[in-house]
Amino acid sequence: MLKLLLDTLKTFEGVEYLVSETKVRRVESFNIRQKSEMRREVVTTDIALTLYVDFCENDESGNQVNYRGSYSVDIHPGTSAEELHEIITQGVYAAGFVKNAYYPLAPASTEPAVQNHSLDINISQALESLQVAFYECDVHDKGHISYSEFFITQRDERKINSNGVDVVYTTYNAFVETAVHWSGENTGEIEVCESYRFSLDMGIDAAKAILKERVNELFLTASKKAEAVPTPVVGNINILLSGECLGTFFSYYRSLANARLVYQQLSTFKEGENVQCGGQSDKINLMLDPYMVGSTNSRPYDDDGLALQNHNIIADGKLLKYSGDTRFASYLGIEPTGNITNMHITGGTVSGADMRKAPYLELVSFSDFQVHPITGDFGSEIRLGFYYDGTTIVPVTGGSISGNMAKVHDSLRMSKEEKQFNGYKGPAVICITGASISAVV
Amino acid sequence: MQKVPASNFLQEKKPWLQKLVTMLEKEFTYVSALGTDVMGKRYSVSNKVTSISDGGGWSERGFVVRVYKDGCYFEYSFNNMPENTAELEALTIQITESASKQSGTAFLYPQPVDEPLVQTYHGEVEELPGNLGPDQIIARMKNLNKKMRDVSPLVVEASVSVSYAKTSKIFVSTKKDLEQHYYWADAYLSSTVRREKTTRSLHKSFSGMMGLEILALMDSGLEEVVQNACKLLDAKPTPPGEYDVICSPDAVGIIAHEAFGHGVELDMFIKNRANAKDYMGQPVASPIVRMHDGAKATRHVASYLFDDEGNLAGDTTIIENGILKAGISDALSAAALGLSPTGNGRRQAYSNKAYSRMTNTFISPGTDKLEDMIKSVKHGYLIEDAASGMEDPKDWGIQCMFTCAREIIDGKITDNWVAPVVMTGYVPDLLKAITMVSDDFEFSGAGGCGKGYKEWVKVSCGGPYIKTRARLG
Repeated sequence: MLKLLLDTLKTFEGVEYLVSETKVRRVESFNIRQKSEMRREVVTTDIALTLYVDFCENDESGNQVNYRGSYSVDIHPGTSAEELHEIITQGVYAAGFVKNAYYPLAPASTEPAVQNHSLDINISQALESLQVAFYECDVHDKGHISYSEFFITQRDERKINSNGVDVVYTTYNAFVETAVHWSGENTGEIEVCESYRFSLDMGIDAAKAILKERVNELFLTASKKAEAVPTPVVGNINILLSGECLGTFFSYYRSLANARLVYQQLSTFKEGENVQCGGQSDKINLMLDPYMVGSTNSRPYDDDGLALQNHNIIADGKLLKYSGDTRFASYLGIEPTGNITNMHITGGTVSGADMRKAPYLELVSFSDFQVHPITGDFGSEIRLGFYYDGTTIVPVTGGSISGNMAKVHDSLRMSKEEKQFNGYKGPAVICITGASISAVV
Repeated sequence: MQKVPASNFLQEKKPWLQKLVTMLEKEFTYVSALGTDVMGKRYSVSNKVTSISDGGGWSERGFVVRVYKDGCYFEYSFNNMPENTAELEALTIQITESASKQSGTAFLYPQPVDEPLVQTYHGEVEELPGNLGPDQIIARMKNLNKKMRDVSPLVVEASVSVSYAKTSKIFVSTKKDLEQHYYWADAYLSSTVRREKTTRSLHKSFSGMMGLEILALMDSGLEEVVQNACKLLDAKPTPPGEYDVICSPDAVGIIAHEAFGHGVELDMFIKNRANAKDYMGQPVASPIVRMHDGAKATRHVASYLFDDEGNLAGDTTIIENGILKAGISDALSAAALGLSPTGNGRRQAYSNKAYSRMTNTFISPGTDKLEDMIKSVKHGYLIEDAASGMEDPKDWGIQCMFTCAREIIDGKITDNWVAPVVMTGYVPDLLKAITMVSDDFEFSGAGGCGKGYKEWVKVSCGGPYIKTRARLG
């Protein structure tokens, strides 16, 4: 299919293109308690084609301006040569009406392609191995694993463009979803659910260890939720956030440092300026790391086929440079970093233990913690937190947190201990004030 | 109205799929196969960026085979259909070998029942997408973009997007031969405004079982979405507390969806993940609440003839006069519970497992007038713009996120805006507190629904205005 497509594209003069071929092999396992409910296998090949057409028009002042139109379409296996010709003909026609400012395609890398052939993982064996490790944690009297779903995926990616890019790489990723039930004396049986994404590039043994650590944490969370009381009115208190929500929290800064949002005027971040409001807060250091071990977002090339490397984006709270793919970087007249989502936020100067010396409300589990990437509004229902009034620590549940990132900049404190959740590596716990807590009264 | 044509791709592959089913029947006591051809486009126009791409993530073309033997199911998803007997035999061997790798203890399902059924459905739309060229579509969207920018100088981005998908599916088993072909479409007007360092966004959505006639709907509410976004620039944080609230049909839809939509998905029952399991036949809401779900319950983006397991669409009464009556099921959970499937077995795509999923979920209209409902509120909020929600069927918690709300004082809607708004609470408390239900009835189906944090399917939800008491933050 790929060869037929490339041969057909060569018959269209003046048409630029990007072809992304993805071969997926996935094994899936679904379990209720410790019984296998269903197994599935997925074997697919998908091709995504983007066509680019250049044209020139006069602007309102009569000056000639170069434009680049594009049209993206999926090419499915079994598509005939005649169908391909028709799809490309229609795509070229449609691209002529997509009037965007001109931008270049990603260039061919001058460095040899990074090949991770050293990783040769049997995904069926990996699935079995991870499942065995996972269920070794299911040993509690008051709690058990309600269900689990395992997805182990091998993706062979190839990206080819008309500018000389021709790169290949393979990823091996795992996704596990589960829920733990725990019987409390006063609450009856409660549930906590979680999903884990991680890359197997760390090796199966390391992946098993991390999975077991996370499942054991989930059992602990469940046991605490079963003791939890409704979230009380806490007043103006330090709010600690820990767990996976921190990746979402800091993604606000990554989003607003992105060239696309800057070009579209959705971000007001400016190079050299503070991204926080100043004050006495810990200053953010944000690095984009396309090779972060253990992250399912790690890859040597971005969607355009641009070779990737680490980039420091924010240092001491100041924006060093924008990140961006080839297109939007060219619009801003900057070097592209490529599209990278892994971020490393450097830990702060205080320990989590020190943060917990004064009264606090620490929120560790949410229904769905969200941050609006443009307005900075954030919020979620509280599934589990810990309230420390200066004398005792009480697990709490219910109610919500809401606020706006601009209102918590000045109070941000970050722990020096770091923790990784898939594509986020950074402070294990942060402290903010200025958010609103809705109590259960 | 124009009839939606069949998929040529599926027509060509169907004989091979039927042959595959026949070959696998030698090894298994039940075999079925689903073929999908979902082709769509997403057009997006903003101030500086225009794009055309395939279907906004909904496009797919491929097959999934389900086999059953001795209590165990296995599925194999692929998108390269063999077209000669030798390759078909090789695929049969591959599926048979993979299915035999069952290890450990299995959750045993009863033998599936395969009843004779041959039906075909062709949807109808006013404007088949092929009748409008990309030049005409983009020109109309650019016009909408300009109109939004003209409403206020505070607009920094006016985004217009339109997606549509032609959905074609075939389902074959020993006794079933089903086909369906229909369109759905959705669209967004999104306005982002800025004053000094404050930025606010607001959107309005449109959706339905329709084609590009959706473009004609988008002029309505265009000015309002910009003007209200501007008002949000002065919005205050929501003072935490419990309030009387009037929820719009948009907000009611998301409450119904998160409260007792996910909570009665019967695959959650067999995992003991839903509290509703123990409350069938008991009051869970105010006596004036009636709630339905079903692909056949109305005509919207989640309407179809048959689900992804070959069961005909239904209309399930979930809550009748406040009493919890029934759940919605996929084929496997229905079989495990000894119930008839309700036609809610849905897959994100052919490459994904089928689960019990919602379709069109709604609270039925009542008899109250919105005007009277607002007048009855001494101090509370009018909640109109649903952003997202999250279910918690085991513990009956609920999270609904709304972009904003307006304060009601002494029975009058004020211009006091709050944002964002997080509604939380205990589901039965929220539903039992409903005291008024309006005679309005509106649907929204512009987004998708995930099960937990994945498995996205197209759904709609809606209802009337309701008055209830809720915890906001």
